[in-house]
Amino acid sequence: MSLTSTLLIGKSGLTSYQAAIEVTGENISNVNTDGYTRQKVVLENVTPTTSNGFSLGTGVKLSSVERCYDALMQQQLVTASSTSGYDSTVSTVLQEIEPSFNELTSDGLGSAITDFFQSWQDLSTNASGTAERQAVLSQAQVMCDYFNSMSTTLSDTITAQNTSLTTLTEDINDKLANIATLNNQIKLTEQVSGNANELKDQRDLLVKELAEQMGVKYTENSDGTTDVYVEDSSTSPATSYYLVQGNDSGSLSFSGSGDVGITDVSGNTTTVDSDIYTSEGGGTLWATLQLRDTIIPSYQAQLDTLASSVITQVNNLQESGYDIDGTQNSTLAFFSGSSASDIAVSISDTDKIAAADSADSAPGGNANALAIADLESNFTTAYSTMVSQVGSDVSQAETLETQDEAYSKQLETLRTSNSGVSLDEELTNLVMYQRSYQACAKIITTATEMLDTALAMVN
Amino acid sequence: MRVTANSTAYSALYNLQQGRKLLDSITEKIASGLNVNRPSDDPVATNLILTTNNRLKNIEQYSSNVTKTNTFLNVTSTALQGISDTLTQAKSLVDTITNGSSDATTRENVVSQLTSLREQLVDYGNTDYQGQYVFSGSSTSTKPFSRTVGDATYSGNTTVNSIEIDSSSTEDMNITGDRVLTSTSGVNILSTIDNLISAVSSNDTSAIQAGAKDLETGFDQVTNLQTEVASRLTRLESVSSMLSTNKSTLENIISNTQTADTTTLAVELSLQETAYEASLSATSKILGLSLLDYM
Repeated sequence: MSLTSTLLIGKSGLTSYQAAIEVTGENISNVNTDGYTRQKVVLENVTPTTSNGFSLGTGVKLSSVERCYDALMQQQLVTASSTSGYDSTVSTVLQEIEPSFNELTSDGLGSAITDFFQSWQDLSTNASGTAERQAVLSQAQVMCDYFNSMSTTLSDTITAQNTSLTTLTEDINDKLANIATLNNQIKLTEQVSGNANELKDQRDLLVKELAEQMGVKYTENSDGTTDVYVEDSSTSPATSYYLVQGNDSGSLSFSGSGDVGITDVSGNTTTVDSDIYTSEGGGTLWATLQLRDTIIPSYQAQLDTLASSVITQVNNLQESGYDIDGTQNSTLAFFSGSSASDIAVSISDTDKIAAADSADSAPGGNANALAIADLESNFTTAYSTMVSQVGSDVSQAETLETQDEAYSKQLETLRTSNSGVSLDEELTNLVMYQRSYQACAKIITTATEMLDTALAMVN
Repeated sequence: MRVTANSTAYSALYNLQQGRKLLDSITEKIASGLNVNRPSDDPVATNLILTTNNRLKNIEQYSSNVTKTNTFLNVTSTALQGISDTLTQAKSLVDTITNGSSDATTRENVVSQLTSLREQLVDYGNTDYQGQYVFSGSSTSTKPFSRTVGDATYSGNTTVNSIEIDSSSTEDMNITGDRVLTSTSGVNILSTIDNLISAVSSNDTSAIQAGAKDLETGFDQVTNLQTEVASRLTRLESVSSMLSTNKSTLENIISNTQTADTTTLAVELSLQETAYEASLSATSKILGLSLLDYM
């Protein structure tokens, strides 16, 4: 054991602590970086040598820079992202639709329907009155306008989903390509036993963000890469479509309407449908498709059913009744159209409104007007039910979104607890490593002085 | 469990956000004065409120129907009263000549008075309301009776319009003229007068006496109709008060479910404000802590 080896021990300390301070610096500067995983230096003593019959160490070395990463936590975060992506998209879109159905603070379709049928009540009290007849026509017009505008709102919302699908699929494709690129870089870095910690952080963050946009599964490979895939569970065994495998990436395709296609890394194709997403964990992509194809169309269908039964029932009575001159206009419909989008008033002559139920009772007979007025309750009840259904859908979506937020917050806290940078900890480490560095420097000065003493003896 | 400054910051942000949301929802209720501001606030209450509002609107419609029917029946009642008064006059006039009179001038005088009383009856029978004949059934534009002596026909129809005065409850609106002046089952008042005119002209005592008797029956007939109208009016009155009772019950339901209780909300608001301020001040204290300050 020579003094030189003491010098070398001091030197190994200086190098190691310098690296430790570098890592601490990296941690501190990334304290606010999304997806950053705290890194930890692992120090290890260098293989001891035997000196004077004793085994003595020969200094310290940096064994590795570890990433404080929890694979299970990452898995949970990714799954939670998919659920939260789905729920928040549904909640946002439904909240946009809700004001159209809000009868509580302003008059809407519901009161227009009531007003229309009540104008027939007014007509029944004075069946030959021109003013009453005119009122029936204007209330009918107001009701048609409400039907039309609600139908437009719903179909506009459907169109808007197509627009967001276009940008969404482009964004997803970018992410898939980026994940593949990062996989490649990670693999190359690890092959030369380099440290790809930061690249892995970026890749994992991308996978998490991707999962929010479309529900995916992933596997972590031993070479540091991550494969991303979706599973078609309708076949047995389930077919996997790999969107990223090593440095290859597949892609999604969307033509502005219709299905979203998937092309996997080997060129196999499928579409995004209920075979792939059986639950609600399909992220924004599946939520947007569900909104476009199922949720909003179901409201539209209800509205159309309501409009078409108003059309049919009022027309039937109008056509079987008698107008002010006692004429039966069996081909003159009151409303034209067949759904909420095209319902319109087709009568323009107030005299043609059939208030009487027989030729004899014209012009003052009101039996038919009463019969039409009595239709009211069928429609207002149906509409109130529809409004509260929309309300309960929105409220459910909001509750789910709130739950997801709370759950994500919980998971994020757990993740930070393991992987997050604590400034207090890093500052403490900084002081610790600095002191150690100073101490190692002291070893070197001491050894130098000893060397000087030894050399002076020679001189 | 490691707690980092950032996780404290995120938690603080999340909790402040929750507090702010609560504050916001209370403020919204106070500002709008409504408990349920959108269907999703309370879907069940939404259904109740919409249904109740709808029933309220219906009640208003029924009240308006009742008022209109009431006015129409009052017009009818006035006309019937006029007819009844005219008949009384005709009766006392005929009473003066029950045994005939040899004096042609007296007879002529009676005839001319009877003729003008007949015209008066027809005028009452042709009463119109808002340009429509009250006694012509649903042929509202046809004059039901003619002023020509000898023409005792009814030109209206027998349609009786009913008006809804409550859900599934109706009341007849009009009395058709054939029941008033030209009854076929009872006494045809107009032809009775026509007969009297010719009987007096020809001094046919027995015909005059028969006519006087018919007039009496006719008078009773009109009185019965007056009673019928009066009972309809009574029914309308009771329906009207029932409607207003229902209305206040429904308005109570609305006020219980939809109208915000400002007092309770004000208390909630101040509680929530205190909680929010406390979390703000706690957050600002904790977020300021850092080891850096002591190094």
